[in-house]
Amino acid sequence: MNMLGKTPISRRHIAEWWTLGLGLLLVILAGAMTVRMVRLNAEQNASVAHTLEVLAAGAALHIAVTEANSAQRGYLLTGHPVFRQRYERARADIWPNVDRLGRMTLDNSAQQARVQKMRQVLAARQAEWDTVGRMADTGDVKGGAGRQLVGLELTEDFRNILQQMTDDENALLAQRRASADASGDWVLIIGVGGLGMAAMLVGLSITTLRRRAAELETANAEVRRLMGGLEDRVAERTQDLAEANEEIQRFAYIVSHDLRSPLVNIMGFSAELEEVQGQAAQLVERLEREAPGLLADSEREALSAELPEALAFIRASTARMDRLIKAILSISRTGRRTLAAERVDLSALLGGLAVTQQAQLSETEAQLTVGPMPEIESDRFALEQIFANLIDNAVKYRRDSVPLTIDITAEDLGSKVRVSVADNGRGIAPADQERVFEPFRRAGVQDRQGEGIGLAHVRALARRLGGSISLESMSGEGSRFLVTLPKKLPQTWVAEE
Amino acid sequence: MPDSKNHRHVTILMIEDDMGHARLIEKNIRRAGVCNEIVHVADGTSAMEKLSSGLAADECPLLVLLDLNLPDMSGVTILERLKADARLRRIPVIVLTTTDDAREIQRCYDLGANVYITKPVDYDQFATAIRQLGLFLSVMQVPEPNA
Repeated sequence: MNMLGKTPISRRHIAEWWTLGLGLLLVILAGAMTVRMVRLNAEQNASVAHTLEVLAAGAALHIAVTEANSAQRGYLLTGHPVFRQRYERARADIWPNVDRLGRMTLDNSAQQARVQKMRQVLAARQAEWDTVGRMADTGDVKGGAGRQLVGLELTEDFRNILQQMTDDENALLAQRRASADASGDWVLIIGVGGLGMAAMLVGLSITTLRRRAAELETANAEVRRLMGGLEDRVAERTQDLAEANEEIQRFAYIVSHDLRSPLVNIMGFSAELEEVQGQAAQLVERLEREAPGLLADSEREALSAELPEALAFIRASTARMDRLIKAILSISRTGRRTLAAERVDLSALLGGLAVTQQAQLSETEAQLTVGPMPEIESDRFALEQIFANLIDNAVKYRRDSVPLTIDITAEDLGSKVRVSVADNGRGIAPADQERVFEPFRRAGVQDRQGEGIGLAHVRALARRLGGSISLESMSGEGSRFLVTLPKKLPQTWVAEE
Repeated sequence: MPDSKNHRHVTILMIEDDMGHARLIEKNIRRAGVCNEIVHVADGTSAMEKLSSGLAADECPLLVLLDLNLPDMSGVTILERLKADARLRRIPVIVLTTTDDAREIQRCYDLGANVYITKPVDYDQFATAIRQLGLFLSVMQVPEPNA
């Protein structure tokens, strides 16, 4: 049992689950990292898009301002209304773009300050455009040209501010990208590392589990081997028992034969002695007649009374002994007989017995009924002996006051069948109910011939068939013998030659 | 009668270990009026000796009464040897024993026993059986040793 010890296995068991659990945890962690990485990526993309939008707004603003400048210059030089229209349209684009820049850089105070400054510069530039515009309307080309330098300066200021803003946005983007890349690397490292570790741990678990399975298989094989050994041992014991049983049967057989041999002498010579005693009796008679008084009283007594009495006892006892030996021989012969399993229809078998016993049954006005019976696989001869004995007993020990009824019924017990033989005879007192199954034991009033061997024989037969017999009885009301038999004769009970 | 003359020569060899049985058998055979010589041996070894040397050499017709339960060997062995011996195998063998086992009876007949009789324990039956055997002996023909 040491090899199947409990503690080491359960301890190892925990270790296996621990590695497997850790592996699972790492897989979850790697999953979380992946989610985080995807999210970071999305955030980065969003910030890039934002920066590009800011840059686009700046570019649009720049174009609008440049366009307004050149269009006004064209108008001033040519006085053509197309340039004026162009200038008007470009000017209209300026403020919405400034507002867009302001909205998009709300989170950045430095940019907000620049937007504010830009608004002032652009307002000044606008005022300048208005001044030059009025000069152009009046055709004062020279005056307009003289103000160009002022306008250029203001435009230059605007450009500087925009440049600063663009640079700032670009720097911010680069910074965001760098940090995202760094954290992305970490997430990747942890994720890949975690997965690798998890794979390792799972691999470890699989190896240990496989080892465990192999160990279990070995243990199972050991258990199977032990069980096989057990079966062999049981078979061995059964064989031993069968041999012992055979030995006992042979012993009983030999003993009873050897007992018979001296019995032949005792009976023979006592018979011869009876012959002699008959002659002695005649001699006594003759002496009494021809020489009265020759014999003493005691001599006469010995020859004519004591001698015959002694011989009578010897003869009675030897006759009884002969019957007992015959009974033992009969039981031992039953045990030695080889059983032959065959399909037996109990209804037909009992019906046959009823016919055999018909004379005896009708003589005593007995009623024998047989209920529905199953078919079983057993030894026909033994079954016949069992039920013939039970029916015989019922007839033998009937009550003279009531007509005898014998009811034979069967009950299905699954793999076995229980046949009940019930009569309304004299019954057997509780104290005798076990005794009646012993050899040479009888119950109740001893007014019937018999050696008390029938029920011992029946029990021996029932046991040989792998079954049993029991008794329920009320003294004076009848007996019920219950014979339980397997539906299929067990193989081990079939004696070997 | 030529028959009875012939019979006077036939010797009965009784192989029986129980002295009482032997005496009872002899008594009852005599009561049947058989007066042939009865030679009694109590064990298998002397029986085989008598058979192979003594009696056979006398060239006198023989009949064997054989008990199966002998102290030194089984009567079945004697029967076997007897029936295997060319000079002895015609000797009629009457198995007279206590065993009434069907297999034993079968075996003896298989080996060439001529008659198998179970000794009844009841003496009346025993006496009757032996007397009838005696009557049977008085009419049966026995082969000449050199025939």
